[in-house]
Order: sequence, then C-alpha cells, then structure tokens
Amino acid sequence: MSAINLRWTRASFWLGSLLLIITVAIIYVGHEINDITAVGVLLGVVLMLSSFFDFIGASRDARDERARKIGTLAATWSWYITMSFTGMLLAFSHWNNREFTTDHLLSIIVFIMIASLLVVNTYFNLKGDVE
Amino acid sequence: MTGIRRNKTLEIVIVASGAIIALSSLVLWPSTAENVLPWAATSIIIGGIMILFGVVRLLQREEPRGDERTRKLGAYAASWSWFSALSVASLLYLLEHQKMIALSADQALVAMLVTLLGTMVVFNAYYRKRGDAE
Repeated sequence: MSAINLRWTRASFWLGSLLLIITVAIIYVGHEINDITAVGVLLGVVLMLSSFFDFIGASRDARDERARKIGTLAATWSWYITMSFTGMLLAFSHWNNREFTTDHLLSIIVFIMIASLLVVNTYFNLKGDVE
Repeated sequence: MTGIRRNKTLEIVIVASGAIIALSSLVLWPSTAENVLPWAATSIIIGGIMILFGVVRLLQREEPRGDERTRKLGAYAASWSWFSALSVASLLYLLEHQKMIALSADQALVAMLVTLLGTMVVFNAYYRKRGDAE
C-alpha cells in the first residue's frame, strides 16, 4: 500500500473514531438517538470499518509486519477490555438495580471499544514493540 | 523446559490477594445495610477466581509459550470479532432508531456479549482450521 493511501486510511479511521465518540457522547447525554446522531453513527461506523484492517495493518496488501503485529494485538486487548467491561456491567447493573436505557448501554460499549483500541494501539506504537 | 517453575512470587501474590478479597466479604456479611449482599458475593467470586487462577499457575509446569502462529491466528480472530461487535452495535443503534426492534438494556448487553464471544470462537476455529491468517 502506498504511503498516501496508508495516510488516508489512518486519517479516515481517526476521523471515524472521533465522530463516533462525539456522537455516542451526545446520545449518552441526551438519553436517546435522534436523526442527526443516527447519521453521525452511520458515517462514523462506515469511515471506521472501511479502514479498520488497513489501520491495524492486517489488510491483504499490507506488508509492514510490525504494524500488523501491533494492530492485531491492540485489537485483541480492546476485545478483552470490552468483553470484561460488558460482563461486569451486566452483573453490577443487575445487583445495583441501575436502570440503563438501550441507547445508554450501547453508547458506553461503543465508547469503550473505540477508546481502548486507540489508546492501546497508540501505546504499542510509542513503545515500538509488543513482545 | 519441563521443570516446575522456580519463581512463584507472582502466583503467591495473586493467591494472597484473592484470599484477602474473599475474606473481606466476612466483614460485610453480618451487616444489615442495604445492597451489601451483592458486594459480599462479588468479593467471594472475584477472590475465589484469583485463588483458583493462582493455585493452577502454581501447580502448572513450565511449558513453552504459545507459538508465533497460534498467537497470530488468535490476534486475527480477535480483530475480526472486534470488527463484528462494532458492526452489531451500530446495527442495533440504527434498528432501534428506526423502531424495527425494541430491545431492553439487558437484552442489548447480552446481544453484545454473545456477539463478542460467538464471533471470537467462530473466527478462531476458522483460522485454526485454515492454518494461516494471511
């Protein structure tokens, strides 16, 4: 993949992530999804998912082994964090009689997924290796 | 690499922490305050898991860490699982907005859990069967 394409897919992923984080924050505060936030979710998800495998270096034409290792491990950590968080949320919200709306919960989960992926990926990139 | 592990400090710390967390429930248990029981039960469960994990690691013999290929396949499976979970979450958002489905909060949580776990198992099995992730 050329350097320009790679830069574009990274920018697309970050842009989609930011859009999605802002949109889920608005949904969380407003307690429900409306037409504008629905478009925000759709646009953010399309931008993110279309560049996801390029961002983590796992697309078919990606040649950078280090970027692939870092990206896939970051996705694994993000999966692990989301999984633990969702399980804990299910148990504790039941015991604490906390009433969430569906939009509230989905906002929290999407936020955790994206934030954890970006944070872990940036951390591994700064660290330079994942061994 | 078949001898018993020599450095067991981490495992001992895990078992001791688990025991402290589990025993802390004994302080909470006699209390009559509201909502104490779930916290006591939680501390027993978390403490119990930590003790079990620590003991299993203590008894475990040193084995070579997972090979590079297995690690790669697992990471690919997790990436696909993450991708699927985000797709399902956004789909639920939009279906909910279009009033095509009416999920309760608990149902949405369970749907996310099942997606995360189910896709991980399926993709892991697929990549292992295929043998490579290229």
